[in-house]
Amino acid sequence: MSLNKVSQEKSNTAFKKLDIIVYAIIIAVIVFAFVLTFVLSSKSPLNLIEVYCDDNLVMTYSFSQDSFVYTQGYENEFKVNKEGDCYIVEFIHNDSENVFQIDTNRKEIKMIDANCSTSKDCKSMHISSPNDLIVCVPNKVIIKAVGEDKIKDPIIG
Amino acid sequence: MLTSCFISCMGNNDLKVKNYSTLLYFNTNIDCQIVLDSEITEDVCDTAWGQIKEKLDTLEGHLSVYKPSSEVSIFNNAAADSWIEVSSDTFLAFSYAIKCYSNTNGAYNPAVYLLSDLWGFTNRFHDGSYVKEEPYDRDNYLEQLPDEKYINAFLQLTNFGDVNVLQENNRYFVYKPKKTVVVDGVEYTMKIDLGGIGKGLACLEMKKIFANNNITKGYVSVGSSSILALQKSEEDLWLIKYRHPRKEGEYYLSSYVADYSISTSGDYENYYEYNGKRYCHIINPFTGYPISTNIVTSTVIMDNPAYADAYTTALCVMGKEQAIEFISKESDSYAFVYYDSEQDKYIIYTNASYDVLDTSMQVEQI
Repeated sequence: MSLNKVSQEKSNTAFKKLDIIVYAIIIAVIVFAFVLTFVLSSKSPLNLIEVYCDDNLVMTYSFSQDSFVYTQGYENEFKVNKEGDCYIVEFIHNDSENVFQIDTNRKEIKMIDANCSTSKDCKSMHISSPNDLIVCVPNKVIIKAVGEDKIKDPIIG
Repeated sequence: MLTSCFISCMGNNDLKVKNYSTLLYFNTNIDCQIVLDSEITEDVCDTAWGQIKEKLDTLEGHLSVYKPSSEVSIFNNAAADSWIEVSSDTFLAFSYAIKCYSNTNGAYNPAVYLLSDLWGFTNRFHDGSYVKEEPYDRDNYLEQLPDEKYINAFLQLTNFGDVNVLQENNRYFVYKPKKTVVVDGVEYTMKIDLGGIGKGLACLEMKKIFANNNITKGYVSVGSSSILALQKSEEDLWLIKYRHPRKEGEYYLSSYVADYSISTSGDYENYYEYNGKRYCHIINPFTGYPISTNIVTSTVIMDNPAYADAYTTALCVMGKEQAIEFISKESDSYAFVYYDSEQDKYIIYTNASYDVLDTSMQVEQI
């Protein structure tokens, strides 16, 4: 084959449609792998919700078992109703009341009502990652999302 | 290159941590994260956290203005012109407060408790227990402003410069000034709140406990307005994000920090609005009114946590010009956000290199 023929053959074969498709697939796989790594590394599954009052654990909810466990003495302070995929949990302790929603499908918890004077802050709180907290200081209630403990940079202000 | 990118994505998230939270001290949430390694096990963390809670309990017992038996409450209820014996913790807290008062020319002033109660920013207004019990209480504190005569009266009881401390033969004493005022037949004396200094002292004590347990990596957040940051890892610093004072859910600053304390104060933390004006919990000790300096938030990164909260509060009181002058002489990293009402713009004044996340904010380097 002459040199001219070789260069003609090369120009005819470079970047044919099939090559473009192959390159596109390779790039897509690389991008997908990066995104998957980032998502997996930043989010870990939520296993449990723990509710604390006065620093005492009073209730846990397990996503995998779809069950509530109450600490002895606190059973009558909880009322739970199911609405679709969500549990509406009402916790009344002495004169303080907190109502929160557990979305079992999206694994999200949010405070939807509280009778404390800072309830406007409580009601804006929702959590979905391990070690996230919803805190109601006046009622001394902490709702904690529990999963594998992962390092998390702090927020101030 | 691709491999190193993957590794960096996974990198720090492999660090294991142990988390703790409590709501029992200083009327706020205290959250702690300790980084685990081969020597810092969960047992070591549990031991340290147990020691921390013990110390917090002691400090709160001495310094809480809401505990009737605390030494601060004893001071507040003591007669004017009297010496009160206190613990070494309380003596230290008063000493720090006196120094901060002096260094800020009175902009930091813990002797505003009566004014704070008058304006509706003490605990009894926020824990659902408010009933009218004081002669100066209003029917609805959110819909009426305080009586001017009480503002003027309580302003006369804010001379914290007259407070003194004495250490003698391992005993500690605090002097309560002699000034009293009488309003409608009721006598009032100076009342103080060392909450900010108390939280700072708590951070200082936690720092010692971590060191005693050889814990060098982690952080403690006190009420989300003070952070004691140790190290994060051999390669990394903690990335601190600062909540935006006006945009909920957003951040306006960030900084990389290790082995320092960070504090913020702001008019967005605790406030109410009346006739379109914001009244926040930071009381101006020179006017008796909540601050109206247009400084909406301030922050500092410094070594000693005991001073941090006091100085950020003081900056909010000072106003723009004095705050700029104060910061210009300081070696620690300060920033404050000023609302320029003429330009309808928020300006960050700083003597450090924070990363500004809200690009609509102008930055002025001091």
